[in-house]
Amino acid sequence: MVNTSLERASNLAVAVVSLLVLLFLIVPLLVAIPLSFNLEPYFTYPMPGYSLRWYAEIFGSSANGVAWHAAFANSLFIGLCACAVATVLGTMASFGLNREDVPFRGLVQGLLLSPLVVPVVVFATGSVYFFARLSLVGTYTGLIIAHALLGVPYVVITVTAALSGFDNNLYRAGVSLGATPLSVFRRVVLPLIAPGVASGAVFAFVVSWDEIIVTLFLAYPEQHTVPRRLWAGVNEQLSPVVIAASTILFIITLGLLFATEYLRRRNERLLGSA
Amino acid sequence: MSATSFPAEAEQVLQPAQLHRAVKKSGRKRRLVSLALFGPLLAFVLVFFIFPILSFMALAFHNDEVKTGFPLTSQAIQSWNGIGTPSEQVFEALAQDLRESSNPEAVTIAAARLNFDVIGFRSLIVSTASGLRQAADATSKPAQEESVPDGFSIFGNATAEDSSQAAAGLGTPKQQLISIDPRWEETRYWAALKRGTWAVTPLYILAALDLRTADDGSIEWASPDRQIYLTLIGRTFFVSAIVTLISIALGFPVARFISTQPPSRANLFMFLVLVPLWTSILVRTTAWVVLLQGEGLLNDIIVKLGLSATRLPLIHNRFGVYVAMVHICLPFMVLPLYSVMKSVPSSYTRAAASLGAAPLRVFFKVYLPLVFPGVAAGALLVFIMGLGFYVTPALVGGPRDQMLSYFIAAAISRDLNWGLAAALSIILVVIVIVTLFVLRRFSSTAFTR
Repeated sequence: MVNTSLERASNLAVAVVSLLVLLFLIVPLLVAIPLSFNLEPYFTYPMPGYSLRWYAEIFGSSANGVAWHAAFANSLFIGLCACAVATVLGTMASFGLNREDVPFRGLVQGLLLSPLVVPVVVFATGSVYFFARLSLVGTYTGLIIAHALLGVPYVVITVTAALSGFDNNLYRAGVSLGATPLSVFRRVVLPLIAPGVASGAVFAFVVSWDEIIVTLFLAYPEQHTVPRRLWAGVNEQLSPVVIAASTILFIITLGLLFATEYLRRRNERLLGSA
Repeated sequence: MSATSFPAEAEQVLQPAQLHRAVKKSGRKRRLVSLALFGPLLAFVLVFFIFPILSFMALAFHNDEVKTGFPLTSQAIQSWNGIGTPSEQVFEALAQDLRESSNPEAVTIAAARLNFDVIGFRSLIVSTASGLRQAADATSKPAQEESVPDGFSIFGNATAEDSSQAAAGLGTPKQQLISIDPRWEETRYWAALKRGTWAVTPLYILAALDLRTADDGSIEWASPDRQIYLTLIGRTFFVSAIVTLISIALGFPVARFISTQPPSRANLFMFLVLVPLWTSILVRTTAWVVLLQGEGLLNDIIVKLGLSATRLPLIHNRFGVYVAMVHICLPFMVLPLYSVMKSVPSSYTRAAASLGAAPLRVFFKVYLPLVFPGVAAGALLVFIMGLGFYVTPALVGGPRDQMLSYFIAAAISRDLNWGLAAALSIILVVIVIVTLFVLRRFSSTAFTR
């Protein structure tokens, strides 16, 4: 038939375009990453030779290396604290909002998700103005609070999604058998929604780990995070060290992506059998 | 009443009123537990997110710089009717404010504020302050010539030519000020001063819309050299819309393609979409800088293939912004599209085709309406993300490709103009919220019929 050959041609076209677009998505990363192993500080192929010197500079004990260590330590510390705050508060809130007859549920949910919608620059400037009055500018506390806020919506979304597959009768059964609500939450609810909580926590950590705009406004000049050093590197002079640091950042987030994918499948299994 | 609806057994245990109370009480307790659970986060978001943003936005209407810097003038000018120049009394108050200010920093801030309303006001205040000081010096210590004090700029900028005016320390305050700087005869400076004493000011919001308050109180267009913000708002809208359209054009076939693949291959392709999504925006932008720069890879390829004899400017222009922004936004388009397309059974389109519909008709009449919610969700996500972009245009765009976010940041870090930053933020957030409502309404009604 005419239709089938036409259909086949259009399917082929869709496939070709799709593969090209997928290539567009992945190639910049695949092309940029090997340059961090370049012997010479250039960004061209073919590379004259391979070397780990740029990584050595980051991990080494030169002044630059020490600054990178501090940046990684700062990013890790701020990320973990922000993740803890966002995860604990976000999980509690999602559970609370998932119960029956919650007043103003829609409004509350909208407010909790608002950090996802408000442009980050507006929050960054607002927090500089407000945090300055609380002497929180240039402090770890200030950065942790701000990063936690940006991570909150992700925790709320993933935990709410996990709870939507949760059978509330399990909670009622636990309470009716005499357990306190807290122990039901800890021993029945939490184990079942744990994968959702964990992937929310990973999201919250990654948001902080990659965050640059709020950090630019709130951090004091010497308070470097990894994205902040990258920002300075791209803005001033692009060196292979920046690409090497980007690669490290990339590999860590890739590891976390695998972790959440694993958690997501586990979540589906757990809730599917429940 | 409610008593009749209760079964007889219940009546033996509890009176209806008691039962009603007990039910209400347990309901209240349940609500309290819910509140205890979501309350902490709600409080956290309200105190550290909503409140800071709102109090920052309120700065757009904040108007106490002039009242603090020129307290006497602010009081005296209230009696002025806005025509010609104010009375002697107001000139006298101004001279006094400038001469005897206990807070020179506040005067500097007020001068900057007035200068934002009428360009040149700062230099007017600087010259008047130094003229007044020299006049005072001339009467008290005629011998001393070099009496420039250190400290704040307005009071430290006396120049030699001002000394010629120092003799003007005679006559009424009005004559004195006008002889120091004849601009004090012009109504517009006084009108701006009076606007500076209003309880709230529309100055910044108007400026962010290329408007200003005229001296008669009406609203007029700002002078042409200051009309930059409507262009900026338009550009932010335009760039975001183009990125959204390109993302739809590229994301649609990809999502369609992946949704028709067997699960294992679909997972692999989705992985290719998720990896960039998870990679830091900064890292991806850095990768584009490497690729697009003058000595970059893409230019190497273009020259080697002979597509162009010279290296093309691919970065620090609009092209670079589109490429990098689409790269960052595309996964957010593919994900919702894919999840909707996966849920559309292929039997629908096959049924339509078997009933005799031409392929295009099947696509537009059957497939597109079914997947439209995905298109709308993706477009909404990408468009709203695009409106707030800061990092990517800052790193791969040129000066004429910067968007609202950049100017908000620059208003604060470069110009220390919090009022303007707040006004631009209000405009950006209003655009985001309006878009959210319009696109959501549109997406829920467009194809439901």
